[in-house]
Amino acid sequence: MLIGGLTLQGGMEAALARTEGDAVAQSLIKGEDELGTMTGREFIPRSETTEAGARKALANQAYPELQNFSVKVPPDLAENGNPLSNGSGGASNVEYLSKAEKGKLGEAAARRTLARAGYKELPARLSRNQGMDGVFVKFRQDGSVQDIIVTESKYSSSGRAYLAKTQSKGVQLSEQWIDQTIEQMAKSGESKVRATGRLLRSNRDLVRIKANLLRPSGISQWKQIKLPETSNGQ
Amino acid sequence: MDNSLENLKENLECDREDLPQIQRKLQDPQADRNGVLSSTLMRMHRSIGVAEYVLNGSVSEFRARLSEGGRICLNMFRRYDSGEGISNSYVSMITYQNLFDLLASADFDLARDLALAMGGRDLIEKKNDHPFDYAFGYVLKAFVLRDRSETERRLGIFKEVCERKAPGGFSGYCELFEDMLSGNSSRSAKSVEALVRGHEKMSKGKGIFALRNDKYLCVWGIGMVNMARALYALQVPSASPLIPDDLLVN
Repeated sequence: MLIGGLTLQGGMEAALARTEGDAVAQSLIKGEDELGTMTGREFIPRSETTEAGARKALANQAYPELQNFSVKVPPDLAENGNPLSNGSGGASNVEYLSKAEKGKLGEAAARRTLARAGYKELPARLSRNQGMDGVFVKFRQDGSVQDIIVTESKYSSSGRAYLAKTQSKGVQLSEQWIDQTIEQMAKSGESKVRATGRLLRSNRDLVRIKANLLRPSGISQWKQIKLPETSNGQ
Repeated sequence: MDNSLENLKENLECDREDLPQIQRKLQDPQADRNGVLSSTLMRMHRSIGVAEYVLNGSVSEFRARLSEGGRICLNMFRRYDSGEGISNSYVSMITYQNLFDLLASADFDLARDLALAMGGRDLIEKKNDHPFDYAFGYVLKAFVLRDRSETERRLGIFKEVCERKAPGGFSGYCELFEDMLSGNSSRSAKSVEALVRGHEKMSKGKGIFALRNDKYLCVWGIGMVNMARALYALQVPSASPLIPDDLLVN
C-alpha cells in the first residue's frame, strides 16, 4: 500500500493501525492511485520502474521538490540489481535520503493532504530555507479567506520529533514565532512571499497550526508532534 | 532611493493601509481572545515607527509608535494575569524585545512597568524561551529595574550564553552592561562600536535582523544607550546612522 507518494512497508491494516485517527490522515489514505515508491534516493511512481528517463520525469512530476537533489542508488541496492528493494532488514529506503530531502518529502505529504482538502499553497519560504514549511489557504467562493493552516513538517525514524526553540523567535509554531515569521515574510525581498506575509497578517485571527511527522514507513502522522501550548491555562 | 529603501517605503504604505483593518477586528474581543491581533497591531506600530524615522526623520512618530507597542505588550501581560486566554508565548521572556522598544522610545516609566510584569513564569519560560532569550530577558529586566543584587548575576549568565549561542554578535551589549555596572563612561564609545559591529553582522544572511526594519536602525542599541544615559548617568556617544543622536535622550 502507498500513502502520500511513499510505499508503506507493512500491510494495510498495520498501516491504518499506525496512522492516527485524524481526518487528514484518513484523506491521505484514500489517495493511492497516484502513488509510487522510494528506491534508494529516488522516488518512482509505481507503474514506471524500467525506463530510467521516464522514471525520473515521473518522479519529478510526482515530487517536484526533489528535482534539485542529486539522486543516487545506494551501493547495496545497486548490487542486488533490484532498485525497488529495500534490503533484507526491512529498513526504509527513505533512510538513504539526506535530511533536506526527508524534510521535502514531509512537506510534500502535507501539501498533498491539504490540496485534497481544497487548500491552496502560498509562497512562504524565506531565504536559506528559513521560515514556515507551508502556508495553505482555503478561499470562499467570493474570494475571501475562510481558513489558513501553517504547517511544520518533520521526519523521524524513531517516531519522536519536537518543535525547536529558536533564538529570538521562540518555539516553532508558537504564536510568537508565527508573528515574528510573518514579519520577516512581510520584509522579504521576494514579492510573492511579501504578499503571503501581508495576507497572513491581515487574517492573523484565522491562522491555525498543524505539524506532520513523516515516518520511514512513509506514513505521515498529524497528531504525533506536540504543538505549543496555545493559551493561558491550556 | 535604493531598492532597499524603496521596499521600506512600500512596506510603510502597506502597514498604514492594513492598520485600520486590524483595529476594526480588535473591536471584536473574541477575535483577539489569545492576543494575536494585539500582537499584530503592536508589531505594525513598531514597523511604522521605525520606517517613519528612517524615511522621514520623524522622531515623534518613532517614539509614539514604539511606546504604543510597548503599552499593548504590557496590556497582554495584564490580560493574561487576569485569566484571559492570552497565548503563553506572549508572556515569556522574549518580551525583552518590547522592553528594548520602550527604552528606545525613552518611555522609562512604561519600561519599568513592563520589566516588573516580565518574569517569574517558570513553566512558560522553560517551555517557550530559547536559553539566549531567557538570559537576555532577565538581564535586561534587572538593569531596567536597577536591581543591584540581580544585575551582576544575570550579566554573568548572559555573557556565558552569548559565548555559546551567539558568539561575537552581542559582545557589545555585554560590554555596555558592564560599563553601566562600573559607572565607567570612558569605555562606552568602544562598547557602542562593538554593539554596532555586531548589529551589522546580524543584519546579513541568516542574522536575526536581516529581515526586519532593524537593519536600518539599531533599535535595541538605541534602547541600550538611552538606558545607560538616563538610568546610569553614563556619557555614551551616538553611532550614526544606526544609533542616531536625535533618538537619544540627553
